[in-house]
This record gives sequence, C-alpha cells and structure tokens, in this order.
Amino acid sequence: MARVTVAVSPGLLLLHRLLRRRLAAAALLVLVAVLAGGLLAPWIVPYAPQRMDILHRLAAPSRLHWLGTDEFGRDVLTRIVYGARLSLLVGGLVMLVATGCGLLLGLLAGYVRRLDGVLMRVTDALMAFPDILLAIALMAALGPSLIDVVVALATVQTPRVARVVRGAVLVLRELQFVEAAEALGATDARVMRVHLLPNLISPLVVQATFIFAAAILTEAALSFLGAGVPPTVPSWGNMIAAAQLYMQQADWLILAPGIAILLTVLSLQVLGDGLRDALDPRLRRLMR
Amino acid sequence: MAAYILRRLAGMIAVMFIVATLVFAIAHIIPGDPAGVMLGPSATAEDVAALRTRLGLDRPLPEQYVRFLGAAVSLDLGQSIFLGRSVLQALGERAPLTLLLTGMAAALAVLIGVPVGVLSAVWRGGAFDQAGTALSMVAASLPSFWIGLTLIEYLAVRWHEFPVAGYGAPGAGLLEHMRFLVLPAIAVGLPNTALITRFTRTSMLDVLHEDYVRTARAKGLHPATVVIKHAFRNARTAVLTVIGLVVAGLIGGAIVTETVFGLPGVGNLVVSAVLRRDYPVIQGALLVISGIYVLVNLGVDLLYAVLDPRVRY
Amino acid sequence: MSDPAALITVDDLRTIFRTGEEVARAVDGVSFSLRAGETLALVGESGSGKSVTALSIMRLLPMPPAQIVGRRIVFADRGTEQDLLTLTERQMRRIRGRRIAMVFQEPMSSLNPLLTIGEQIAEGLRLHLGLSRAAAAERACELLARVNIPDPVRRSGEYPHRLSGGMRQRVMIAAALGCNPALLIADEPTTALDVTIQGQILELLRSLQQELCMAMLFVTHDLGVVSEVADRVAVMYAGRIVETGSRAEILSAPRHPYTKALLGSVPRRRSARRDPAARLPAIPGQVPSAAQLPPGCTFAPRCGLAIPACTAARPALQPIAGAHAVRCIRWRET
Repeated sequence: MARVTVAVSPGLLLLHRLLRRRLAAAALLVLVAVLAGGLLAPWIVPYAPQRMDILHRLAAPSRLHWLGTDEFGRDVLTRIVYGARLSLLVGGLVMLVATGCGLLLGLLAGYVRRLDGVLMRVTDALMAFPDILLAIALMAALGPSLIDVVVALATVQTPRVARVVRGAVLVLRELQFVEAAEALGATDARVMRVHLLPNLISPLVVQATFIFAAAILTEAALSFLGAGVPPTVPSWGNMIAAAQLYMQQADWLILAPGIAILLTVLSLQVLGDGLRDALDPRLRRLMR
Repeated sequence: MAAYILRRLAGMIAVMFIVATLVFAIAHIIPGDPAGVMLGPSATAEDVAALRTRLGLDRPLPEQYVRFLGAAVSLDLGQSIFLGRSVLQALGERAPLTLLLTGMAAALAVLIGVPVGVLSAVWRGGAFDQAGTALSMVAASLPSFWIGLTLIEYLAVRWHEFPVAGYGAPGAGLLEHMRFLVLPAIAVGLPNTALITRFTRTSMLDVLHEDYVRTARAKGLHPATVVIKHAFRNARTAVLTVIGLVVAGLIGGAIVTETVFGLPGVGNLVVSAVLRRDYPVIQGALLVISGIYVLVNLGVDLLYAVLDPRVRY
Repeated sequence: MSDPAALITVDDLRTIFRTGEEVARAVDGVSFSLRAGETLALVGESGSGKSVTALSIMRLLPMPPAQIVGRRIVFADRGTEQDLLTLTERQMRRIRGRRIAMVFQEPMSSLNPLLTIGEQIAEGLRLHLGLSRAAAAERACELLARVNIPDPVRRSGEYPHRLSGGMRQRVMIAAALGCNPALLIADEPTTALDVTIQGQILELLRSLQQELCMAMLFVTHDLGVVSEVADRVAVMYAGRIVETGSRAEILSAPRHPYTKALLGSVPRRRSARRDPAARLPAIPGQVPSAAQLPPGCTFAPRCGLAIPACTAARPALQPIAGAHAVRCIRWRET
C-alpha cells in the first residue's frame, strides 16, 4: 500500500492528468498552435492580410501560396491566421465576460432565494431565442464593431453559465461544510467567497471551454450573414461568405476557413471533455 | 392532471412575458433614434418624424412598453417598414418553409441521433462507439452554413443529385418541396444529430447501470428487449428534454442555412430585416420563434407526465 | 466433494476484475454444492465476494471488467448436466429466470419504474412458458396473491412507486418464482427492509421453497437471518470460503477465528440490526483489497492466532467432522 504522496500544485496535477489522455493532449497542442499563430500573426505570415495581387487571383494552393489566393489575389493562409486572431479574441473575451456575469448571476440565484425565481425565468426567456437569432437581433441594435460582437455573444452565453453555477450552488449548499459555516454565522458574502467559489472553479472551467467553442461558431455565423465584424476584416465567417461566389472555381476558399473552424472548435470540445474527466470526479454530479 | 397543465401554462406565460420585455428592450438599446437609424442618413427630418409617430416612438417609454405588450398579446406585431405589409402576414407567408425545414432536420437528428446514441452506450468502448463519438464530435464542431455550402459544392453541383438552391415552384406538392429541402435539412440537422447522439449515449449509460436492468437480464430476456423495453424506456424522458432544447438550435440553424440555399423562409426574412434594420420584423420574429420554442417545451413537459407515472401532477 | 445428488455444484469458481493493470481476485476458488429443497447461506462482510459468487452463477457480471477464469459450475437439472460456464449466451438465457431465478437486495431500484407490476411478472412467463398475454396476466395476479399482496388484480396494473419496500420485494419474489425455478438465488433480499417486514419475507421465502421443492442460495451478511433460513452455511472472507458446515455447526461450534469473531459481533437485540454501526464486526483491521490479497491465509493480518506458518502457504479447507470443514491451520487450537 506504500504510495508516495508528493505535494504538487493542483494546476500541474491537472495538466499531468490531461496530458495522459492522448486526445486531450493533441487538442491542447492544436490550440497552442492556433493561439501562437493568432498572437504572432504579423511576424509569421508571408504576406500582409489586405495585400491584393490581381494577377494571381483565385490561384490554387502552391509553394508561394500554401492555401491559394482569394478573388482579390490575397493570400488565404495569411487571412486564416489573422482570422484565428479574431476568432480567439472574440471567443476569449466572450468566455471571460460570460463566465464572469454568469458566475455572479448564478451565485445570486443559487444563494439568494428571493432572486432565484426571477433570475431563472429571465435565463429561461433568453434561452428561448436561438443563439444566432438573439445574436443578430442584438447586432442590429448595437453596431458592427468587435466590441458589439462580444457584447452580443456574451449576452447569448451568460444564461448558460448562470444555470450551471446555480445548479452547482444548490448542490453545494446542501453539503455539510457550507451548512456548518452558515450555522456558525458566516455572512452570505463570506460563505460565497470562501466556501462556494473554490468548488465552483471546476465546473466553470469546463463550461468556459464549451462557451469559447460556441462563441467561435456563432461569431462565424454572424460574419457569414453579414451581421458581424465589417466584411473587410479577415474573419473565418467573412472568408466563407465571400467565397460562396467562387467556390466552384476555387473550393480551397471554402475548405480552408471551414477546416480552421473545425480544428479549433473540435479541439476546444475535446479539451472540455478532457477537463471534465480529469477534474474532480465530484464534478460529474455538479454538472448535472 | 389539469392542475399540472395549468401550472405549466402559467410558467409559460411568465416566460413569454419576460421574452416580450426583452424583445422590447433590445429595440430600445439602440444608441440614438431608431427611426433615424432605420431610414438611414439620407432621410429627411419629416420622414424621420413621420416614422417616429407611426412607430409610437414619440411617446414616453412606459407607454410604449404597455402598448407593445398589449399589441403582442393580440398578435398585432406591427407593420414592416420595407415590405409594405404587416409583420404577421410576412411571417405567415414564410413560416411553412421554415417549419418544414426544421421538422425535417429534427426528424433526421432524432432518427439518427437516438439509435446511434443507444447503440454507442450498449457497445460502450467498442469500435461503433468510438466511431460514433468521434463523428459526432466533428459534426458538433462544424457550422451548419459551412456544411450547407460543401453539400451544394459536392452533392448538388458536381453530382446533380439534388437541387442547388430554391424551393420549387410555388404550387409544387409537399414531396417536391421536401426534395429541395433535403440538403438544407442535412446541414441543419447534422450538428444537432451530434448533440442528440451524445446526450442519448450519456443517459443510456446511466440507465444501463440501474438495478432494474440487471433484474431484466436475470429474467433471461433477450438483450434487445432489455435495452429497448427496460433501459431505453427510462432514458427517453431525458432524451425528450434534449430534443426540446435542440429545437432552438434547429431553428437557429434553419435561419442561417436558408441564406445559403436561397430559401424564402423566416430566416431569410430576419436576416434581410437585420441588414435593413427593419425593427418591427425583427421583434416579431423574435416573439414568434421564442413562442414556438416555449410551446414545444410545454409539449415536452406534458409528454413527460404521459410517459412517466411518477411525475406528480 | 462432488455430490451425485446435487442440483448445482460450484467447483473452484474464480472471478477476477481487470481494471487497467490491476487484477482483483473477487472470488478466489469457491466450491460448494446444493441439493433440491436445500438452503445454503453464503455469509460474509461486504467485499467478501459473496454477491460476485451469486452473479457469477447467473453470469450477470459486466464483462469486461469481470472475467470468470475457473472452473466449472455444473447444473444438474431435469436429468441433464450442463456446465453453466461453457454455455452460449443464448443457452444461458433459457436458464436465467426459468430454471435459476434471482431476487436482489434493493427492492426500491430493482423494479422498472416505468412498467406495471403485472407486466414485470408476466414478461418472464410469456417468454419462458409461452403463455399468451391474457394467460400471463392472469397467472401474474395468481402469483401476486400467492406472495400475499392484497387486491392483486388492481395492484398488477400499478407502477412500483406506489408500493412499499416490502411489497416490492414480494413482487420481485413473485416475478422470480413464476416459472417454478429449480434454484433461487436470493442476494441479501431482506437487508434493505424494516425488521418486521424482514421476518415476513423470510417466512414467505421458506414456505414457497417447501411448496416448490426449490434449492435456495441465500446470500447475506446477517447471522440472525442465517439462523432462520439456512440448512447449511458457508462463510466467505476475501473471496474464499473459510468455513462451511451445517447451521448448528457454524452457529454453535465455529472453528475459524473469523467465524468466531463474526459471531461475537452479532448484536444482541435484533432491532439493532438496522443500525449500520452495529452491523460491522468489531474485528481490528480491514478486509484486504481483492487486488492485493495477502499471501497464505487472507485473514492472517487480522487474526489474533496468526503464526508465521499462516502466511507461508494458502491453507486448504480441512474436514473436521461430516460436512464441517475449515480453512485454518490452527483450527484445533481455536
């Protein structure tokens, strides 16, 4: 029974458990590559994203243009990398905003009984709109900037986080240590901060990964419909929308951004699943 | 039973009230004057003022809100600014296509997703399960509009198996319309098939561990009987829940995919309304679509009570 | 130890569970036999392998992770002998529920909540006896009446959640006995029930057993129950039978230190049995993990009489007198 217990930080332990799963490790690798590409875009791409080359428009993939060129002779690979930058920026910001707001609302709903009914009816109502419909309606009211996209998508995702957090809080509240703290006269704010928050981190991290993925998909749909960032900005959705007219002559214009979306979103989903399995087994109960 | 239905109806009305409030709020978060935004920078001051009066924007906000709620209750969704007819009329003309498309996509998602999910759970860890899980992860990571475009490119244009776009002649029969909707339905249905598959698999795995499944096996029943009669019967309420939730995703997918296939449905109406900032149409579509979603889920709740004797009325 | 008159002979049963690299030997060489009309109580703490033994006979364990590696289970029913471990799944299904039936521990969760009680009894009758839907329904009502459920016709149309735990266990028994099985395996059938109900269920099982001349394998951790139902007793510890004999021999003249400790820890008042703390035998130490069984006698680490020889080799089951046998090298000194 001799089992050596070494003190390791929980983050390292999680990473270790995650890397032991080959699929999750591969997903992490893809995401790191996409992230690096997005961050370092100006330094690593071969061309400027708006540089047109009318002589080489709709050129098939070649040594000069690995993923070919579009209808203006712009390098597709360059624009894919810049699109990664936009997708990650939007996805990341939506994830942060939605998780933050959702956490706050979920804690309030789960902890303050009087607010629970109202808050949950509001999330019910928000979730009655299809994601993309609510997003485009909000975009019609807001504007076409990146910040507007983030606000619209965060509004769509916040109710989901709030529901998960509320559900977890309701389970946790029944646990003895929380009851004990309440019985000892701890204030609500203290119980939330000291006892609930640390236990909510696991479900939140998993949920955040899925929101990242959903935000990237919805952003692409917004751009595709012409209701997202302006069409001149290189985003994956914009690229697919523009490529529609040329797809019979140049199917790489459709395939490249589509596969970029697929790889990124798939990696996020695999990572989310991996995190759920690697984190505390109690999580399964809290995620119900 | 009647009390149960009444309680669910009351909950539905509460949600719809909040939905209407949100719809009203969305139109009023626009910075500046909605009438000016709608008509664009070239409009004259008189035109803007006239539109403001027509939309009631010159009245105080609370009064506008009450009027809006009152109108919504009587299904008066206002006039479209650009289409020259009432919003309800415009939606009514477009609704059959969108409903048919959503229905076909839902049928596809359920007919594939549920059996695949059940079999994946039964053969957990086997080749079928792994292939099914991998495929559904991929399908859930693809935007429906991209699936639509690739289907057009590779099935319609190159193979001529299916029509590239459109909905058939206006007087065409249902089957002819459905032929035009096969590819769009696949595009809309595929990502949702993946969701239903994964959820069915999880619920079945939970159920297959239950004691009563072991009891059924101890009776010497055929494995198919054990899975279908004893296990799936208990998983189907959970599956029903996810089907209710997926309706929102299906309608959302239909909205985007109609654009890809040039289908004259509600989605096309909404997207062009958004691009032209035709707020009454946007508001009307939001109300009607969320209303459909809430109704479907009310139906799911009522089906629960029919399927599970333990549900307390 | 082969008994020519035996209905079922379990011969050196070994069931293992593989999880990753670990191999847990849950049942590690169990042998016993059972005649028609006879009741054998398989007694042990949780984790001793008694339920795994029962499920191995029915071949109901999830495989993988479970695997039955040894050796034979001979079922001599209606003049034919079959080794249950070599039957195909299809042949096994003709035995399950028809010739060998099983009643489980948790009546609350062992009935399907979405099927009527009548249907859950009738489906086995239709399958094994070929009864029509109407005949099976009628027979289900008779069975409900036989297990003393009042108003059986009305009850058969109800769903399990309307019934109490004791009533549900009666339904389970009715469903199990519908095809007149030769062997009933009862896996802790009374553990989850109130004490007063326990007595009624035991009484019912006993009278039905006599009526049907059925053999019964009764799995329990409760020595009080053993004294009420068993003809013979086999005490299990860490996957092995450590002592076996007639009820009187085991209860009044136990020889194995573990059996003695178990008997010493029986709560005096029967009502205390519902209290989980009172159930636990007051033996120092823990049941060893099936993945890391100690060498030699598995009870040695907890045994006050252990000597170096105990851990040197696996002790054999040594006959004392008649059917009484014990797996302890120091049994003469206990």
